[in-house]
Amino acid sequence: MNAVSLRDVSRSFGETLAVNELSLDVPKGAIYGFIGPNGSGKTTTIRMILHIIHQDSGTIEVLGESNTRAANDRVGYLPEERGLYKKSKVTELLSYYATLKGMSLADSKTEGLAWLERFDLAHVAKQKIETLSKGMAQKVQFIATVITRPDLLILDEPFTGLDPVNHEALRDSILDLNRDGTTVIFSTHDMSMAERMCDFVCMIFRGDKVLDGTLDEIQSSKGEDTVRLRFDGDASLLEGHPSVERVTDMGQYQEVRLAGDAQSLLQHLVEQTRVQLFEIARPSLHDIFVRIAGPEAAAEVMASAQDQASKN
Amino acid sequence: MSKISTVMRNEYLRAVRTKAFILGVLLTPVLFGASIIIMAIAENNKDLTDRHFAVVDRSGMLGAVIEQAMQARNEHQLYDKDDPEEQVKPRWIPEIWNPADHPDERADVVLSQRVDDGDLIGFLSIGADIPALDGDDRELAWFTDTPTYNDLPSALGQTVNNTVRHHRLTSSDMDAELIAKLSKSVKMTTMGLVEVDTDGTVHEAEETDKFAEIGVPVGLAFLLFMLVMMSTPALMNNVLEEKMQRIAEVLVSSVSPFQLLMGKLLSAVLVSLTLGVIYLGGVLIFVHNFDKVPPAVVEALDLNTLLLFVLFLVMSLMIYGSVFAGLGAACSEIQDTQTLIMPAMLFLIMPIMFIGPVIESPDGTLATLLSFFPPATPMIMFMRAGIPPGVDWWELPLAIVLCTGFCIVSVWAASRVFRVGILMQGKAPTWRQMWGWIRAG
Repeated sequence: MNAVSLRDVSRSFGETLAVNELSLDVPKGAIYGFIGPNGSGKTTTIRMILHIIHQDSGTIEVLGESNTRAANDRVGYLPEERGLYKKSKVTELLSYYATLKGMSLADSKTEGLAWLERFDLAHVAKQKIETLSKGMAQKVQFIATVITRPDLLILDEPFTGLDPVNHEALRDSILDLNRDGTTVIFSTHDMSMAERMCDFVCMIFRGDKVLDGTLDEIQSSKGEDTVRLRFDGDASLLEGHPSVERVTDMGQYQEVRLAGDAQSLLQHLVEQTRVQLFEIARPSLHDIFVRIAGPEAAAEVMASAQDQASKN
Repeated sequence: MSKISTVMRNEYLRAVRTKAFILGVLLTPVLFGASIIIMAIAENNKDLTDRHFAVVDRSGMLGAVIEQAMQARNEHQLYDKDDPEEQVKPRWIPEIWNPADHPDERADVVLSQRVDDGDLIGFLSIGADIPALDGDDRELAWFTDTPTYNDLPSALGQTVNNTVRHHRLTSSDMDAELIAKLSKSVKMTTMGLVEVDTDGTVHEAEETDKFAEIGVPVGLAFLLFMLVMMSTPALMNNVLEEKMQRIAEVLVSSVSPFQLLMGKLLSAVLVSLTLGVIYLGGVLIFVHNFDKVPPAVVEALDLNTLLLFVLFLVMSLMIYGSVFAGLGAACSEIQDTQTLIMPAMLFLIMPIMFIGPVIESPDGTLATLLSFFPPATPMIMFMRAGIPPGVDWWELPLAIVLCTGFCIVSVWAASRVFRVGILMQGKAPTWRQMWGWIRAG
């Protein structure tokens, strides 16, 4: 049973084809990663799932409802570009968003307070949004999205701008909701984040789907042709070795895509330096993306990631 | 419908709970009351300084008459009718300037200097031949550097004319008493029309009350304009704020753009009706409890008039509210609104510019045509319906039907612009692009 199904969905804006005959299934209860660089068509697809904009062709089914907004009350949505009414009080704002989804005013007050307590924000319940810190406001924004305990939760770049503590709190809440049965669609260009959280991954690039399946399936399909390496010295030690096809600097380690024998590479390194880590692994999502989309696309993703890091 | 009412409730509460709204509600009557008090204070604090003036009398007869007339006025007409102790008008003190006593001086030069020095407020020059029917020196002129003070020269002109007329008649050997009787003026009153019932009963004409017949409909039309001005441009800012603060996308994931627009429009209607009830309620309480209000004013504020006011107010709010909300959705920055708002504001203000011609000729061609032009219908037709002779039986229903149709078209077109514009960022669209959005849907 799928929470969301898209069949041959396309959408253009003028001459630009934003989404091209996209088909995908989001199984109920899954955490579904929707990944790709900025401008690849993720937000357009999400807006079509929510019927904020209409597809030019194809069919969209959400929680059993086809091509209507009927299911929207059971969907929580946290857009990438988000804001709050600055002059509203926290509880009033939460009640407004909850009642828009069909929750009663009384229930919205009870649920709102429970969520505020969970995020240690009960003391700001009567305060105006404009008096809150950025982190508090982001948590209130998240509560407004999940206050009705939706069956489907769509999060577009949910961790942008969060400090590590709030990042952790938000991640735990998403996982808790998922354990309670909420299906989560999680759009991001941060592939390592998708790797850590998602059961299923769909990669979209320039309007086309380039990957779709469980994380395990996707990584297994590429075989164990990757080595994670950490050693004294810099990456120049790897240059020119016949077993090395490509090196990606992942910060704490180097990720090497193998073109030949792993053992000969290990021997080569041991002879020259002290090796701290040598792990034969499946390729990362980032590496798989680079293989599919090419180095230029990888550069776009890296630029997006750096941009996000600078926001944080 | 419940989503529209949820949006409406939230928007309404957000609007009426603001300090600006509460202050606005309280301050408007306070300012209104204060202006009445200030006017009353100003009335009671008139400048009662003696006004000295000169009369250059070359006729040899009018100077003395003016002196007597001023003396009589200063003795009997300066004090309040109810309080004989309280002086309410300044004394006018003449100084007769006989040219024969000043053979070496030019009267106008000398007296102009004295006016300039503040010694006199002005001087009256009376030609030698003024009392006669012909002659060369027929000047009657008031020289002053404060031409806005009109009471004194008016009174002087009237005194001179009455005296000259009387002089000419008595010079013709007519009886002075008879002349006074014959020349006594009569007061004219303005009456309404006699009405005849279907059973033949005749209802006599009644004296008309201009304030009730013109002041009430025009005053209510102004209130209507004020309420629309207070609510609808604010809708544009409200929608634009939601776009700029990135709130709009969350909202349209829960409600359709049409539901969001309707919720906002109905909230603007409710806010305006709240203000209307407060202000009109205050007026009604005042007119029903203050004895000095003419009965015609109380009658003019009847239930039919108030219901028509509410109907036209709602229509006006829907028309202009949808236009301004649509413009707010189309823009991304406050600066963008400056160019787009002008045409809409012109249509909104237009009826105010035609109030004069409508009062002058409520059933004239211009007023009639304007009253069937939907953007102007609410104000103009409301005034025409209230100002005698009123409108024909078919005009009001036709105007309401036309205006209702235009309301529906406005809301429909605005909802199309709203749907496309609400998520759009960047450069504001042109009117042509918005027309494309409306047609494309």
